[in-house]
Amino acid sequence: MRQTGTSDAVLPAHRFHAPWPYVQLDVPALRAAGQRPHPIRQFVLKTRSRCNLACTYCYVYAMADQGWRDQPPAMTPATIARAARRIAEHAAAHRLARVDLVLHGGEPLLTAPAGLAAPVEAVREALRELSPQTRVTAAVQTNGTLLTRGRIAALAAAGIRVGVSLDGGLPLHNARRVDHAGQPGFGAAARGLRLLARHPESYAGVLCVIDLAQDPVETYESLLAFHPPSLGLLLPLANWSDPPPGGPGGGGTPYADWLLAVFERWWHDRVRRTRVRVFEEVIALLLGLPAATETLGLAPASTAVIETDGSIEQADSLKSAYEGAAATGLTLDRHTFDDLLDHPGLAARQLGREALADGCRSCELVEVCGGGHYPHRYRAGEGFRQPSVYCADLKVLIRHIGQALHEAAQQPRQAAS
Amino acid sequence: MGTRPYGTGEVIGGAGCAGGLPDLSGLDLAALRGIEHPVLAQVIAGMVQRVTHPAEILNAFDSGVD
Repeated sequence: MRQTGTSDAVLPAHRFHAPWPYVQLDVPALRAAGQRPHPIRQFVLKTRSRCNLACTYCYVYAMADQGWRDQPPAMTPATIARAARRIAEHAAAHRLARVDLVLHGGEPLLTAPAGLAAPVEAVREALRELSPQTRVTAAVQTNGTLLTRGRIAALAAAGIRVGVSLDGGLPLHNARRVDHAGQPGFGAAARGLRLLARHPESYAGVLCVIDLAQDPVETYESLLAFHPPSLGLLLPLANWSDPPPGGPGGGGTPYADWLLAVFERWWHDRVRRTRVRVFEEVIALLLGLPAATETLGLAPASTAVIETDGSIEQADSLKSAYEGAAATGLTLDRHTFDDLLDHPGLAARQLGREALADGCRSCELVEVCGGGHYPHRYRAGEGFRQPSVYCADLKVLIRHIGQALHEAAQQPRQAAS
Repeated sequence: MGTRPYGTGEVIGGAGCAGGLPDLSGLDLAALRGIEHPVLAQVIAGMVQRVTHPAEILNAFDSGVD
């Protein structure tokens, strides 16, 4: 029976903080019973471990895990080459039609333009040798403050699309997005976004973390001014032991209310102004289609993170739970991505409904909600088998969108031409 | 700010949220093609790709989340 590959150094913390899955999930028994892992399809490369901003809610710098301090500032050429090799080996072993690369960090644009495409080119070269049928799609997720004409051109030439994190289109929406001196990052980010908007072929979209203190429609409309092809409206990273900020007066479903204010504006517009991912994913799941996100639905997780020092980790967002929550003890030097598939943390995220709390498994919305985003299910000392801390919000959101879909479907069809 | 722990809030307000989901069993992409709802029509057009090319779904990286 293959070992899980988790080193002794990381396992005790996992077992203490998260008995589910680290104590209660028997991965060898799963495999013996015939449950096969799903391959990794998306590889996040943290090319830079430092960031020029210090956003107050950042899951890398401002939450429970402080592991970034042990990382080198930049991924070395040797690490990049090793990562490319391991990715290509995995693509070949699983005959992947495509792999998705995401350059991340820290802030990945803390790199001269000439060096930006190196990780993607290394993967392309390794695939040409080991898995020539595998295509590559690539994106960079950036705070936007360092977007220049030179960087945009270099990224476009390499076919790397750009996603920008911004919490709204006005300075007051971005009070939490400050640099290490506490100065606002908004001005530089807005300039970067305006440059990027002139290159729609390179523009992936904007990711915005919901702030209940800000008006949702104003936030949405102000972001439309930057012409994002897609808009991610993200629930703040939180869990049962570190709950999200509530709305005024407490209680209720303030995150659903916030999102539905945007939904009503978006849904009743003359045209679709942007693809609001959470709304479109809920609609897709309500129609029985596969999801394109790991925050909703029951599809298996398929993302691996390669840290700046060549460690293989689980999703960064886990760092919101406890110190070391994303650690696996695996490294590019000594392990493959197949070893990651047998790590209990990832295996639990590929079990679909079986990994969920009892109440979730019997809920009529489970095929859409999927139990909510995995880090949101965490409770200290128990692990990741609770309903989402946003469960009530998700119920309201999904039911409202379902009702809107039902009503829209009653409308007449256009006459066939 | 209330002192009730987050996540135990009662569901309040909003049309269609007090009961269960409406019956969507008859709805699929084919049934919704040509719908006159402008936003839904564009959403549906984009989703045809998911059916015709399921392996090509772009797993949009949700980080700041994932």
